[in-house]
Amino acid sequence: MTQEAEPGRIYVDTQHEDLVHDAQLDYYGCRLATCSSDRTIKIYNVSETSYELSATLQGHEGPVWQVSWSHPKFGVLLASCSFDGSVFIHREIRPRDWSLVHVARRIHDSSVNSVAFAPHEYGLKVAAASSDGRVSIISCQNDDDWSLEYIEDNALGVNSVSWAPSGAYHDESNSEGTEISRLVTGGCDNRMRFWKLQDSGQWCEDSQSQVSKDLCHSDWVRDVAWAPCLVPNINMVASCSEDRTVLIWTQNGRNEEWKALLLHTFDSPVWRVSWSVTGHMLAVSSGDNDVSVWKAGVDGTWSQMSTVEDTPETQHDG
Amino acid sequence: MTKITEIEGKSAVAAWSPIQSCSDVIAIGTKDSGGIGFEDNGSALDLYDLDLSNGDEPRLLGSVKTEARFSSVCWSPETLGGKYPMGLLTGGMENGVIHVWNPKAIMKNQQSLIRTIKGHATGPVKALQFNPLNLSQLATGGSDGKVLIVNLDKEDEVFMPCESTQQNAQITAVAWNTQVSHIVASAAADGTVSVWDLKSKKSWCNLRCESAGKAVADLAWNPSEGLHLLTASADDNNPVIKLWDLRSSTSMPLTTLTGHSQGILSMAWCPHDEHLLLSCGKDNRTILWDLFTLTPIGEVPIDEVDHQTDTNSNSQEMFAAGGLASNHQRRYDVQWSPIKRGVTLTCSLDRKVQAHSILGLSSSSARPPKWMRPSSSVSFGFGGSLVSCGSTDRYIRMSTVVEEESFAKLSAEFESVLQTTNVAEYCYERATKTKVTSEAELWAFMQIIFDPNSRQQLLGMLGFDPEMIASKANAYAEDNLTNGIEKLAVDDKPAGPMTKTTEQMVKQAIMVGNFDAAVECCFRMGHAADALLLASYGGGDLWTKTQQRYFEAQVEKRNFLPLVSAVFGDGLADLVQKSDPEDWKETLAIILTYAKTEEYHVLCDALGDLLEQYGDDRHASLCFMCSMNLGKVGKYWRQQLDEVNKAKGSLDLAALHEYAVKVTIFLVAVGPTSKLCLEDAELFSKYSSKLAEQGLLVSAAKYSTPDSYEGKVLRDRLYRSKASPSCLAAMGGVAPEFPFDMTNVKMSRAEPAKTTRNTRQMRTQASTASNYSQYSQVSAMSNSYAGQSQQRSATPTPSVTQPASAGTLPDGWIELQDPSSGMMYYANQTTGETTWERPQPVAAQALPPAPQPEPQKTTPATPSRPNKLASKYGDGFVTSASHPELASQYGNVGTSNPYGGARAGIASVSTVEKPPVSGTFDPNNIPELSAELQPIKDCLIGVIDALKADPSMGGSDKRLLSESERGVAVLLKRLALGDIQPEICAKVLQMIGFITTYDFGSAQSVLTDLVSSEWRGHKDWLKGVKALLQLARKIWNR
Repeated sequence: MTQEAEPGRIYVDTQHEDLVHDAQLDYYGCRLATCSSDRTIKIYNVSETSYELSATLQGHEGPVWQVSWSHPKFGVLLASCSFDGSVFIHREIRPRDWSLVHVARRIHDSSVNSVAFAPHEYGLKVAAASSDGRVSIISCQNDDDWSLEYIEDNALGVNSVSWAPSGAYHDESNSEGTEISRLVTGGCDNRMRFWKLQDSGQWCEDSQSQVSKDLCHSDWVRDVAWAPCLVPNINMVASCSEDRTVLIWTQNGRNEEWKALLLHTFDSPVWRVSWSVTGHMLAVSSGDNDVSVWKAGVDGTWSQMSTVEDTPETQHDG
Repeated sequence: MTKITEIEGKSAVAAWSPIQSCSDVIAIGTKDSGGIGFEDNGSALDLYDLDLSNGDEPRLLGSVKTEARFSSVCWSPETLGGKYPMGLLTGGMENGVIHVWNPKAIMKNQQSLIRTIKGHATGPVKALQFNPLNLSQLATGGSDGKVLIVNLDKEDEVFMPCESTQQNAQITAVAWNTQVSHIVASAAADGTVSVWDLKSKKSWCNLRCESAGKAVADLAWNPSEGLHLLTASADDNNPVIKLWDLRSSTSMPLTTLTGHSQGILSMAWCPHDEHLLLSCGKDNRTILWDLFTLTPIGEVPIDEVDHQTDTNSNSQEMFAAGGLASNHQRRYDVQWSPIKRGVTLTCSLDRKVQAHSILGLSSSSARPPKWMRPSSSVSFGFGGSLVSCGSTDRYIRMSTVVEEESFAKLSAEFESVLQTTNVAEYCYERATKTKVTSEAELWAFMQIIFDPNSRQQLLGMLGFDPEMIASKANAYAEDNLTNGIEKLAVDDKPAGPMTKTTEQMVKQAIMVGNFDAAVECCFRMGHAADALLLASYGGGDLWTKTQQRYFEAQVEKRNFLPLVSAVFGDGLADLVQKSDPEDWKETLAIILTYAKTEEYHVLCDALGDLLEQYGDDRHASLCFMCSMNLGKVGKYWRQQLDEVNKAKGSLDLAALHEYAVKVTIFLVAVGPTSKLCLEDAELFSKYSSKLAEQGLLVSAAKYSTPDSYEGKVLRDRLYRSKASPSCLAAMGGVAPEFPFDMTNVKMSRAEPAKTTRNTRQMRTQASTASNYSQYSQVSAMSNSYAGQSQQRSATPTPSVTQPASAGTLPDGWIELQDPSSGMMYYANQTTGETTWERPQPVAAQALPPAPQPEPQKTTPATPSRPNKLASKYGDGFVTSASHPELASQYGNVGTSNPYGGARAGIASVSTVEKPPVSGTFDPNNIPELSAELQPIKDCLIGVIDALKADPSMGGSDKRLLSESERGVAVLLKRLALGDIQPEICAKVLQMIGFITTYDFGSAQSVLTDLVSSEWRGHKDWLKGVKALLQLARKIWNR
């Protein structure tokens, strides 16, 4: 369906039969993947003024919570995670024709809440965070086999996982340039945890850098997002929580302490945070549908840029 | 269901802390001292920190001894004006006494007992609860069958709900209504439940839940709905949980939950998701129920009890709870954490207090708990695109966020100028508008270099207008004529008149033709003019020599002479080298006037270099502009940019833009063939990426440069972006290379499966943009093949090979080799598709397959287990089919029951009295209405159709319309079901009458009336009709 809309803004009628939980644009920004409680994923081709349904992907046996696009060097790949405990990796083999390249069915005992492709420099890998308290790392091996590892996070469950961008840490002594993969997770224990891949190939909690306790979340961490790297060894992570706050964590140098800054306390629980591609802006979604965009000033203070207006129908409500 | 932590050796009752900051703290009131002494009847109240997050052992925070054992314990967050920061903790004791403690004091080991209430007869006070809507109000129920209300904020206020509050048996539980603060219910061992109204001081209703003599073990109000009550039966023969809807009946429960095999001991309705219920019974099971499906969806695992500890627990409750019949863990108390979602606390006869999490609950047939469902999401994409979705509708909002609005505006303005205006005009405008001299100069120069007569123009610009100078010179000369030339002549010629001797000497020399001597003579005597005149006859050599000598001799008196010297002597280069940088304008003017075309640029460059050495970069850059030296002029502009950036401490986008503008304009002058130097290319790349960040993709493409890796990546990204065709054009029509090494991911060996439900009923898509994006996605897969694929697929190139062994390809497909990886791939010459996988003859040619019927839909119904079967569908919203009442109560129609007509298959599975009221609008399946209601249907559907066809509908209007459709669908269905009271129907008909006469104002007032009076029961359709009316007014009233 093509739909004309006011310039600069398109409303995509997803035609999902239940709530839509996630929407992600691919690397080029011309395809949109959405997922829903109706257990399907929909792919749309997006142009500047219109959109068109390209495919509907099925197979999950529960609500699909999140989707993640791969880097284009791997072709057109989409990872999805579901309440059914599974992670699927779909591939468009020819336009509009999708296959599953990997099915990690019920790799978790419980809902898989978050899924994310690793930066392509780390190879073809997917991290998935589950309510069973574990994070799984699914990696594509050279022989097209897929391996599966688990990270034990916290017993209450993990809500979100985000990869450190490639180049986030620069080690002078490491001339090889091989980089250690890192992850951050946010969970029902109200905490964030930093993980790194050791030389041994095992994941371990990054104990070298402390996480400041001056400011922390008092309820579930719903989402974490590692910012794109602007300056090597200066890293930022945004976290949002059921406690209605968004915190911006900054680490000024390798192995330094992560320090938090309160971005804002919102009116309702905050569900997602997302950095712009260049890392200058942070989008925050809270409540049922409130989206705001924040920008850091030169002095490090954050200011709200705009609120993405709500739909007219909810404005007229009541 | 995972066990998080436990405290062993406590036979106890427990309560969670309701304080947000201490959400892991519990209070445990023991039912024994833990000792074996005969005398010791006392117990203790312990506070523990369970430390759920870190998984550490529970930590005892404080403890206080009591003289009697605990029967119940309850914790309120009421601080009584800050006096008790940790709230109030109460315990119902076995001796009929109720104590109130200050938990903060217990932790500090200070005097903690605040109050003791003695209102009940001796016997355990098992029922205890704080009013959630009046936190200092406590309800208690004793073994004497009495219910007491205690207002802890008032010293001695203890009263009974009404005069005859007595129930005839021990009170087993009390529960405050969650919506109305003056309603409290009590359950008794005689199988009755009373609901008390404290305001009117009377019993609101009485329920006979169990047959006489069978106790109601527990009761609970719906956490979010005022009139739903659950009661649990202790009856071993009929251990059910009953759901009462007090609106519809106080004699018959709405439904029952069966699953326990022996009497129920305790139950708790989940405060965070009213669809979840936890119950435990004498059958040693602790069941988690889904109240939607009315089925157990999980069970809290039990520990095997070892007999050693079993014999130690001598609690009398053990017998009440059914004795020691089994060696399984028996829980007698369950509750949810009021703060932590999905965390439960249980107390069991084997002296354990355990916390479990149901977050890890796995069940593909169950709905996810409410807290697991994200309510909204947002995500950034390339080019500042932002997509978001929420739980209010099924739409995705896509917009572009411009981070640097002023920068974007600058760029947009500049690009439109380039499109519409003459570049020279733009320069002129800039030159005249700016107030900064240096900028005015720069733009004036910039403008002039576009002029075919630029050298002349530049002279004027420098203040040397030839015409003006000529007229000035004339004027000056005339002036002097009138004012007496003599004086001037004297001044100008200091040498006296020629002496006789000299004259003679010269004359003689001329006579013999020795001009050398004559000239020499004249010079010696200071008659330079004569010397020059004579030299002009004396041959080239002498002439040159004399000129030189003249200049040397006179240079001090006449400062224009070096200039004349240079011009005559072809010594401009020398002149430039020796020129005074301060007088660069003159030097430049000379170059402009005298330089030959071939040396012009060299000389300007030389002057520029000189000025640069002198430190006058600004004027140097002007010279470089004259020489069209992009490299050198760019350097100065880069310096300017650097300075601004340094002063600002970060990249100044306006300065970057200014830089890009200058270079761009200059490039137009120089000609498009000139190449940017590396530094300029880098800055252009940066400029381009900044433009892309603002969503200005096409402009970004224009300025992108492929010199660096980042530049290549950006160009690729722009080329395949949603603005692909325009970007391609802006990049000169040459598609950039794919900058990454392609990795081909093959199908996993396990479980290959097709997931596409092919939606080939592609809607007509006239825009080339989408065709293009399709094309570009193809090329994304075929690596560097991109950009050439159109030609290639049209005319197979020599690289086409046809391995005989591989068999034939389907029509239209050819095999190609990817030039970069050497891998073979396949392209369809007609469609432009490419793929790494070899197309199979059938697959590739397959017509759009008919939509596969979903297997679930064809599953034959199994009448014996309707719920189980039905729960496979959707998210288990089967109640909508099997329990329509529940669906309409518990499910909010919009989301819980999304399948509507499409899921008709479910309805056939179970017996349906009242179909679900779904908001799905299916024009082919509009319910039939009775004749008098028919106008409602005709009118509303007519309005919807008319609105649908109206061309002035915008995007937001369409959303409003779909809301309207939902509402109308619900209304029509409910009308068909007879679910709408006649008086409301009448109102609706009245409104319809107004709508048919286009009297939207009156229709609105009828609707407003309805909304204000009937919203509660009819919001599901009123909302939509409201939207419809609003839309109709908007569309037709304008």
